[in-house]
Amino acid sequence: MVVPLISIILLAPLAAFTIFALLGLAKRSFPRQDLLSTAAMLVALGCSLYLLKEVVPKPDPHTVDWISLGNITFSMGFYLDSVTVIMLIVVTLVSSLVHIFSIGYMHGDPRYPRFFAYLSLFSFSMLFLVVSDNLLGIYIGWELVGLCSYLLIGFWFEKDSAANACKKAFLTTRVGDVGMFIGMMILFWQLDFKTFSLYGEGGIFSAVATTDDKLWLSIAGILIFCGAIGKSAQVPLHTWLPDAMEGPTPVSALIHAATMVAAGVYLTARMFPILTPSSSLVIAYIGGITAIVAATIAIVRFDIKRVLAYSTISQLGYMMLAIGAGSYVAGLFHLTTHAFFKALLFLGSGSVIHAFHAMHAHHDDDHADNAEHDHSLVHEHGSEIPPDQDMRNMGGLRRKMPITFITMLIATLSISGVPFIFSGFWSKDKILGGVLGRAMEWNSIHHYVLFGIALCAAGITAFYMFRLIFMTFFGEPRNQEMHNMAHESPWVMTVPLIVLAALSFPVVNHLWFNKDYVKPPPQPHIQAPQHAYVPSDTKIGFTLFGLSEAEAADEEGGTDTEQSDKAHHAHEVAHNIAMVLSIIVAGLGILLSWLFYHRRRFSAEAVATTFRPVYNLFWNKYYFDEFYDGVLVTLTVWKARLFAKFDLSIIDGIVNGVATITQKIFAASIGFFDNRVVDGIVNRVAEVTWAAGGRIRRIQTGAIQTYLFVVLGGIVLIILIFRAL
Amino acid sequence: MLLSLMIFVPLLGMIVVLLLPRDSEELIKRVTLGFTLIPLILAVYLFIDYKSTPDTQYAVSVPWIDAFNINYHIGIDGLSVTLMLLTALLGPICVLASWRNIEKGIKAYMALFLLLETGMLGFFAALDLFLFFVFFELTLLPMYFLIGVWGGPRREYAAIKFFLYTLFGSVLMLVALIAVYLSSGIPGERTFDIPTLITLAGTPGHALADPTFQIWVFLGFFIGFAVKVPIFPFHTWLPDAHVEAPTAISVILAGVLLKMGTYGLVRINMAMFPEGMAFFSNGIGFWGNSLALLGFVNIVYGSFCALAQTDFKKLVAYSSIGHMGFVILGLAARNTMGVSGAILQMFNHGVISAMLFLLVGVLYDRAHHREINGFGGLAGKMPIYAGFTTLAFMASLGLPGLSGFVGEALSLLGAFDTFKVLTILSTIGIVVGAAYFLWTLQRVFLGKLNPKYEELPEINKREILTLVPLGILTIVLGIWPNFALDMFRESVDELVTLMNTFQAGL
Amino acid sequence: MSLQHYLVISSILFTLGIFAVLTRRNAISILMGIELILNSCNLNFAAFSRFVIPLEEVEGKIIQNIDGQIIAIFGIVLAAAEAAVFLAIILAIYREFGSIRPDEVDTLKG
Repeated sequence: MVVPLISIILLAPLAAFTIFALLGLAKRSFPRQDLLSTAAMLVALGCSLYLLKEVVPKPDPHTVDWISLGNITFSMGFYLDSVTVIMLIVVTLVSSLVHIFSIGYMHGDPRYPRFFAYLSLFSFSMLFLVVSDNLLGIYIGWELVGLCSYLLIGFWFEKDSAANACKKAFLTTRVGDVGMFIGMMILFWQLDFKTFSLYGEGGIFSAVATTDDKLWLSIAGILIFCGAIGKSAQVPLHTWLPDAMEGPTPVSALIHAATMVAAGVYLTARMFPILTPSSSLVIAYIGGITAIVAATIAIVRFDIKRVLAYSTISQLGYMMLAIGAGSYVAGLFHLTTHAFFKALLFLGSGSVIHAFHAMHAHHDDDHADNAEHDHSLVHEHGSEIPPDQDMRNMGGLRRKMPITFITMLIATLSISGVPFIFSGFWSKDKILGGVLGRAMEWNSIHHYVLFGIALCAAGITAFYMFRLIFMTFFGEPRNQEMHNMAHESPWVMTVPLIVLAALSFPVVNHLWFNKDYVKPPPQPHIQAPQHAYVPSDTKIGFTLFGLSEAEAADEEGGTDTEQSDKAHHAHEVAHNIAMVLSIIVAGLGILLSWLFYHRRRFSAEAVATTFRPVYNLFWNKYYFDEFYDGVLVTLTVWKARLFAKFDLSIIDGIVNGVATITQKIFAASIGFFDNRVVDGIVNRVAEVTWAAGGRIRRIQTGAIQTYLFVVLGGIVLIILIFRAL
Repeated sequence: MLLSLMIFVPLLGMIVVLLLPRDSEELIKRVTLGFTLIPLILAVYLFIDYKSTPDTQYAVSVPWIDAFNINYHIGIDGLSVTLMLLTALLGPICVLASWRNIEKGIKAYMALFLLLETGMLGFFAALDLFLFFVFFELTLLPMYFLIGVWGGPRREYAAIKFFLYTLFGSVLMLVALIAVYLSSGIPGERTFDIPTLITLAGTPGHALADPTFQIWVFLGFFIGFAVKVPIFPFHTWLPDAHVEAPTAISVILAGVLLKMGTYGLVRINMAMFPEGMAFFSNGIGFWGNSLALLGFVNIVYGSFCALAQTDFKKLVAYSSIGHMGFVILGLAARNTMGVSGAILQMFNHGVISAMLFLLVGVLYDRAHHREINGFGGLAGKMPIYAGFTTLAFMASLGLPGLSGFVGEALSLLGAFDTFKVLTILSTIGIVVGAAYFLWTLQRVFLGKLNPKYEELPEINKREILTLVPLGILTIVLGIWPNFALDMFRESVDELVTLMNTFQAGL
Repeated sequence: MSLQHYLVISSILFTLGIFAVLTRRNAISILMGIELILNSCNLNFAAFSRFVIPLEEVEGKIIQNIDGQIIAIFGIVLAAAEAAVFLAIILAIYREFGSIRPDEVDTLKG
């Protein structure tokens, strides 16, 4: 049952795209491409839900040989475990809802059918990535989703900003992908695994347990993680994601919030068994840094979509941090909850933008007049915010758009970690608890630092998300003209919002809390360091967080099983601590936001002026874009020009020089000899012949009778001669 | 017999075309198309009928010049049948691509084109070193005239450069060829027969198997083929020739002629001089890395040069140089994966670059210039054309799911075993490759429509017809590479086994 | 009649022909001269065949060799063909030059 179901899940969206492509070749289009694509997605969703009921838990690779070379075979196949099925459901569900939302949002667009065809292609690629049982298959899906992201970011390609953004997205992620490919090559040759299959006998995961080349394993792990850095927009390759907001908002919701960017997290989780302590730590740090950096940038954005984009980056950093800290379940749990509430936030912002749609069209015309043709690879990040996305133009929308407001509020409460009744709280708490648990269990200073970072990021998240809500939906309208035009969106757009809002409550938590359902794969190369559980250290660790000496003393010593019990206990304690702290910081963030942006007790501008350098750093996004454009891109283009010039002047110059030398020197001297000597003789002979001919020709009179007379005379002469003889 | 028929049908076509009256252009085109379709049908038949074994099939050997023991010896193995299919496929496509845009002397053009096709097909089938050389040179002459007469403004410069450059390589090759002949035995037993020479070169103690001899002869042949591939620093004829050549000739040039260089490397350099090959690619010391180094330089240098180009066709030409670098790198690996990847990349590059040049030609026919910066926003105006270009670009920059990826990935993967650092550095080419293609895509298709091109007509049916078979191949080979790999698996295995017994024992 | 008689007639015809060819200003006349020369030759062939070659005896019969006469007949056929060609040439010359006087048709002059 599995193979046909998966085939349907994959082929349904692919078929929707293929129909579009084939008809496009004949300059036609399917009359209702939107319904076709949506139907395909709903079919896939149905099959995924069926899989949830039927198959799991029964991990079972189904493979076919893809490339066979000598004794090496690359196979392609599916691997279904509980995580895969959950991912399948998340992808198909969010994708279906985004399809439905787009029917309303994209209505009237000149390339309306094409949009749905691209969405279908994306869904296929993403699902392929999710179910693949080997690195090569994942890599294929990985690059294909990149292509779809490229096509969809550049969907409104007439805008130069969109054209730049899609190129940037593709190139930035490709840098990461190359790292991933190198990592794969290292796994293949350096570690001598000779396969890209992950599971089963002879798969990477069984081979990894026996290898002891920790150095190369760490390097391979980090390089494969590079792919995730690119795709999941982690620091330092995160800059493409905010720019990707140039794409239509449903695309941002589907690709750049819920699914594709989460693929990096999914990949890292899939590669969980090959991680070593050092590669884990790198992942955790990159995740942590990303979480805090993106969160701080989000505070000062005014573009509603950019705020959400940086929030996405920050949350993805969270997930990476979780996986790096060994909290496999927590990372994936947050992935799913985040997919729902972030998709909801984006769709909600899309609904707001849609409300200003008339303005949007108007703005486009303006843009057309002013925009200059920018064709350089180096482009300005003139963060000129479109007026319909600028939160400074919004305010007071809660009365105009009640459904959008309520659903977005639910999502915001969820992402901010408001306790107990929202899913985001549980997943975020699981991450924080996991990190703190690892810190306490290993007594690792790194993980304490990371926990601190994560906690800060959580507080900031609550702050900027409520800033968004207050600026958009509360207060007085700041732009009366636009406000008058705003209206609640049609039902095709609000229904997906409501469904996603329902999913922002903890409805699927039981799957993640069921230890028999989702089991983290073993990590053969990660053991607790030797110095863990040393009594004095433990004491310090525990007293730091307010545990009694007596409790801490209980943790000391013991056999292995006791130790693991204690580790378990440490994690439980850590979760409780983390829960309390996260509730505190979330509350603090919301409170501050309320004071700043609703009550106006403090002025954000005043704070910004006071801390001008810090504000500038946040406002300019830590100068990453400036660095990349000013240094890397310029350097690359400069180098390319240098190479081209070198090619044209030096290499080609040598070639032409050789030709010239041959022509001028050798050819000229040989030519001289040839002209004067060889040809001289020839010419003399010719001249003599010529002159002789001139004389002799007089004999030819042209009169036939003369000739005859001569003939006759000749005969007579011959006869006479013969007679004489 | 079938093979000879396939090779000489275009030659017969040339005679028929020459007998046709000059004025009946439509007839000439149709007859040419017919005569290029016959080899295609035969090639498809061969491709299906071919059994993957290491032996040569369809072999024919007839004495030709007895005095020097030269035979008309032809036959195919997996490698040649793949490339012959490519050649035969591009034949009719190029005739279709020349349907409207050759304005003068269509008769001579078509006749020369058919002669060229005979030369190319014969080259891939030849199993006698002398015959091999003759066919190699036979392609040169028609190419010279096709560029020199029907080319762009600087056609004569380009044609002469192409001709002399290749001839320069051929001379070294000829010297090496004679050296091989003279060393092959005592007078009277000397031979040009390639399979025999391969056996002799593998016989310990034979003059041909002497490592020093092999290295020098290897170099002679290598330079001859390097000009054709082209390998840095012998590449500068390529951009000029491409820019000046008419569309169809660019397609043949990139699609087939470049492959003649790499095919020669596999057929002669690797199989006949395994010691020489080992010396230049065993990964030990400078010389042991030199072949991979050339591959790396080709990739990175070609890619960066392409990034700086503003002429669409020149950009594609430099990208060809970059992509041929992957072939060299894969061959230098000397393992099954690398060599298979390289051969696959040869075929794929033939298909993809043919598409790219056809697409450039489509645009040039409409706008009459190729300046990338002069366009913009064409995606809205010509969506089907934009779709095809995106497909070709994505295939060329190695998007998985399309054929370019498989060849590149296998080449890199194979090379990584021996040349770790060079392979990692070569991946720069993947990023830069994406950069120049995407940048071009942006400058030509995205952004605001340049008002000059409001009236640009969409790609027409004939042009679509030329692109569709190539597009299908690109997708099919990307999804199911075994389709092509099955053809030359046995041949590659044998070649790799042969080479692995030699490790340059100097 | 003996051989001498034939030879004398033949010589007279030949001389008359030569004279006509060398002196006449009209191409037709030259043609007639050539015909005379040819016929004098034919006469010689027939005469020599009749008088010079001895009779043979084959299977008891006396047989006269007639090779010369046959050649003479070939000669006559040839003369007819030649005349036709010659007249065609004359016609062409007349069209080209407007004259059939050989001394006026001297474009082959060196």
